[in-house]
Amino acid sequence: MSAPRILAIETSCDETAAAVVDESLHVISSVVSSQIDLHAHFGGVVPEIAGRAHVELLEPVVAQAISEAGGSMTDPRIEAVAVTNGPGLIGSLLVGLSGAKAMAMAWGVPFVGVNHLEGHLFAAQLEADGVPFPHVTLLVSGGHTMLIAVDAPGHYRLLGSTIDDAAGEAYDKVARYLGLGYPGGPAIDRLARQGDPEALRFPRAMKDDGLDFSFSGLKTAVVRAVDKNPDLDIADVVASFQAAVVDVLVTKSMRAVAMSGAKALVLGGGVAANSSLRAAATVAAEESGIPCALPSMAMCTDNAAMIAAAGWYRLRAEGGAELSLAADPSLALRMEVA
Amino acid sequence: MTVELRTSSVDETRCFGETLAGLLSPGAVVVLIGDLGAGKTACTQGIARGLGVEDRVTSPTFTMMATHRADGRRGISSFLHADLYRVGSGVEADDLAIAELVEDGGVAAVEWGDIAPDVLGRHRVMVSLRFGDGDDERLITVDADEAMIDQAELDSALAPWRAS
Repeated sequence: MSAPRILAIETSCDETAAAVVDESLHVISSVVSSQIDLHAHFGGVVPEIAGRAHVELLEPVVAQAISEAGGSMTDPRIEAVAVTNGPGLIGSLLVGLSGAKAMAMAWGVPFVGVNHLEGHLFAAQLEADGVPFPHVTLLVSGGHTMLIAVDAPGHYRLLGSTIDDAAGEAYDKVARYLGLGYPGGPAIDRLARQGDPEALRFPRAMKDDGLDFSFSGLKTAVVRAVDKNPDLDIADVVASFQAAVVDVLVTKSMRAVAMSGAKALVLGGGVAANSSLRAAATVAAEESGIPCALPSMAMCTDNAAMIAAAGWYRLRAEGGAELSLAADPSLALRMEVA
Repeated sequence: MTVELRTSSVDETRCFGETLAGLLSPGAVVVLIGDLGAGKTACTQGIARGLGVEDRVTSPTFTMMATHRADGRRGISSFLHADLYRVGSGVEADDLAIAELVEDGGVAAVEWGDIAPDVLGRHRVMVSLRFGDGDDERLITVDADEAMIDQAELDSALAPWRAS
């Protein structure tokens, strides 16, 4: 008899994902179907299109995850179903949530709702053996930029967050402005390698001040610089932009580590796939004598395996959820008082 | 009725938003138009402050919409912050049902609202922001329906930023 397994479903934004993970957090299967091609034309995720695509993709993606784990839709060999119920786009969340409820009912297994952000906080646990507690996680994506003290699984304190734009949003908007396409992160990451990160000195807002972030002024500075001087080498512009983002993210992360006495720095979220951020965070953590846990690219971006890991935790801590559980587009992560 | 204004810093743009909020009544939709970095979110943060919103108001580009609790001054109990940056067409903007959402004691600010002004209800205040000469200077045009905001009140409240 193999270890108990959970099926997890993630449809909060533009990835339809399903995974089967056992109770020791071994990933048996993880399937992600990206809708990037559908949204690239618009320079970002279009909610209506995302919702419809999730409807079409959910069943095949779940069936593939279950079949790769040796089961079938009639004999799934799973003990529970976990699903993201927020935060995210409401039309997208509802597709995964309704599907998960229906499957849990049909299979007669418990069902548990997971906060998408808690999934990102668990991503590192799936790969790195024993990331020590307490640690600080820098959670950076298109919708979030947060520094979170993870004192123990399920025990979080918010140390800082953005006061305007998320870091990933700044990447997407700068990329769209410069005509580099969507998603902006990988496009800028690639082009920045050919540019000089010191060619332009972009502002590092609030760098010396606390643990909150501000990226709105940086975005404006990039737009203004290019407007005034259209002959600028775009590679230099994005390299300098990225240098400013990474400088602020890493400086504040290490400040959070020092202030909270963390034993490790963990990166999570889509922007954590950025090569420059990964390199700079690794060096800075090493200098402070602590490990830096970098989830693989697949575990940084949205996936269902991380939802499964958080789902196991929530199922053990609180038991299954009621089938009346609602989707909440602005679901907050429960924090303890900082 | 149109008023031309000039601000010289992000803080001033925020203060302008805060003052504008003082002229709004329930059901008003402020449509913010301007290029990337022109100050739409800063202006929105000011409006939120002027409505007594205590939450941190950040860019809602990712989730398209965020609702905040206002403190009830002048009968305004909620503040809806929407961002149509990624919306493809007016049909999709219509799905967001912004006009319906503000009917019940709310006020809305819609960034990139020029994508679909027709679906945003009748009580609109158009605010367009453009870059000025200096890095931090912004030229702001406010266009409000006279049935909504009294001309004399608008003129006197926004006088500090009137472009000469």
